[in-house]
Amino acid sequence: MKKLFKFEFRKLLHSKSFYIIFGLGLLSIILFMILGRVMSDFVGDSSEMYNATATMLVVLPNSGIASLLGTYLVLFACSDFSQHTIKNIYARGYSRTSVYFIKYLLSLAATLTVAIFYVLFGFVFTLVLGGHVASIASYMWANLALQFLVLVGMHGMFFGVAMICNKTGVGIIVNVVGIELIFTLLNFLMQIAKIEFNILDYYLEMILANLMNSQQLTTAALVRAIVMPIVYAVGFVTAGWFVNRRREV
Amino acid sequence: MKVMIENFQTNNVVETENLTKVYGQKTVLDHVNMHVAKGDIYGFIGKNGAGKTTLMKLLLGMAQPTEGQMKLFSNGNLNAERHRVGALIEAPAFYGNCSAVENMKRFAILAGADDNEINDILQFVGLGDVGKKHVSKFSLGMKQRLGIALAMLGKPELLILDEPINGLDPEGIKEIRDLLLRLNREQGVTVLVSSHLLDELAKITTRYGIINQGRLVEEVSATELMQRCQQKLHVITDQPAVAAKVIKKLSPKAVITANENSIDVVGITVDSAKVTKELVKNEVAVQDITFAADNMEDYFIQRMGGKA
Repeated sequence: MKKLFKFEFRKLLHSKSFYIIFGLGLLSIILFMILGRVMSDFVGDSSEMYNATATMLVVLPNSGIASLLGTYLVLFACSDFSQHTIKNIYARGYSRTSVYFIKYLLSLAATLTVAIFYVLFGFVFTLVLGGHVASIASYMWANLALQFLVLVGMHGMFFGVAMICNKTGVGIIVNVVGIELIFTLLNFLMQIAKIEFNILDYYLEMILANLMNSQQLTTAALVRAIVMPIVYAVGFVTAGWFVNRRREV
Repeated sequence: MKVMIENFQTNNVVETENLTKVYGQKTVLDHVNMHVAKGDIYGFIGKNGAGKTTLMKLLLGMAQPTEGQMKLFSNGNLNAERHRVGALIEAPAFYGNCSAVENMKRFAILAGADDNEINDILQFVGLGDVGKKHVSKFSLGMKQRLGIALAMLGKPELLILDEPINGLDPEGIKEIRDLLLRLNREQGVTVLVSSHLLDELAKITTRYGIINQGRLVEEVSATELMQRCQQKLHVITDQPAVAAKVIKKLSPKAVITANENSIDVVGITVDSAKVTKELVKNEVAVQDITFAADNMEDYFIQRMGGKA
């Protein structure tokens, strides 16, 4: 297991796509913050944008992390399948389950590390833009923790989809466009059928966006932000493992 | 007898028992019982689609058997033994946008090999001077060599190679052949190798397994096969026992198999005219006498279900 972890870690560190994709996220954060600063200066209400501590709460939902994660996880998880190098790994006696979960855990650790970096970068960059450090309410820390939990859910969903699709192109399309399309379509159908159920409330990207307005969160929204990421992560990771369990290479 | 069976089992590096693989309605492997002994260079021969690659994939955990048992190094826990195996199945697989050294370094982690071993192997397969060139820009032959180099990482005791000389030029084929011989003779590596190039395989193989339509038709040692393919005298007569006695007198080292109305003689040292003359002299009624020589390739083709 240790060897497998080192092997995957070396691949991750040498992966150009990893740096490019998460560099794009960083660029998106920089643009968001500069634009936000310009707009708040224009409007004359710059209290939030000057608050480096509060900025940490809005960084992740505005980094475009969902699309980036959906793309990167497919590239990372499927690379051994698309290049057939998975044969070399299995042939050395590493089981499908250990390969699957090492990939899962390593990509999760990388995702959370990048997310922490984004949040800290948001904090520092606000200071660079002339912001200040203000005290932060305790619920804001809880909110940030929930954002990370949602990220764990997103990661599990995208990883599971990547392993089920097992093909780079299909995986990226499903992760970046497909899932959102399914939710939008279902929502549309429910509206037509006049079913009073907002399925978009259960869509992780929406849950993450809602967390930005932490003061207006209802109890139901809070429960969804806790439960849904776990449901998505467990559901998709288990499904991916099940499909991958006996897949021939 | 019990001791003999135990020895047989412990000497087998690969053993399969009734190994079967079915895809939908198609039986790709049909109750295969294969035995690769320690130190063998086992030539696995069969037509395209005969089941060679499938069997190798099952041994390496790339596919699951429908039925049957497999053992590596006499152990049924295959994953526990696969770290002692190096493999090249179908086309060599590697990270195309990395150099040969980076590919080797990555897989060296899995195989437990160090930098010295990586350099030695790359020199050994003739890729010591390729520098940082991306593997995707390698020629077919270079890719094949890298595939073999990856298989050699971690000093495996068993190499499973599926068509390893595909795409190589004659010089490359000779190099790989010599390399396998060296590994086998100097390091005692057992080799299970499949190839369509029967002549090339015949130069190194110590034992053959012939597979046809998923069935292992025959396992035969190279020596035994050579004997089978030697010049053979076939005499049709009503007096096979007398004829055998006469021929044995003429050529004492010949191996004679008497049948109901004929005899087969292998290793005879005199020509057919002299044999005929001697048989007539001893009043043996000969209906027909022919010399036949089985070509090894013809033999394989016949056994593989083709027409020689």
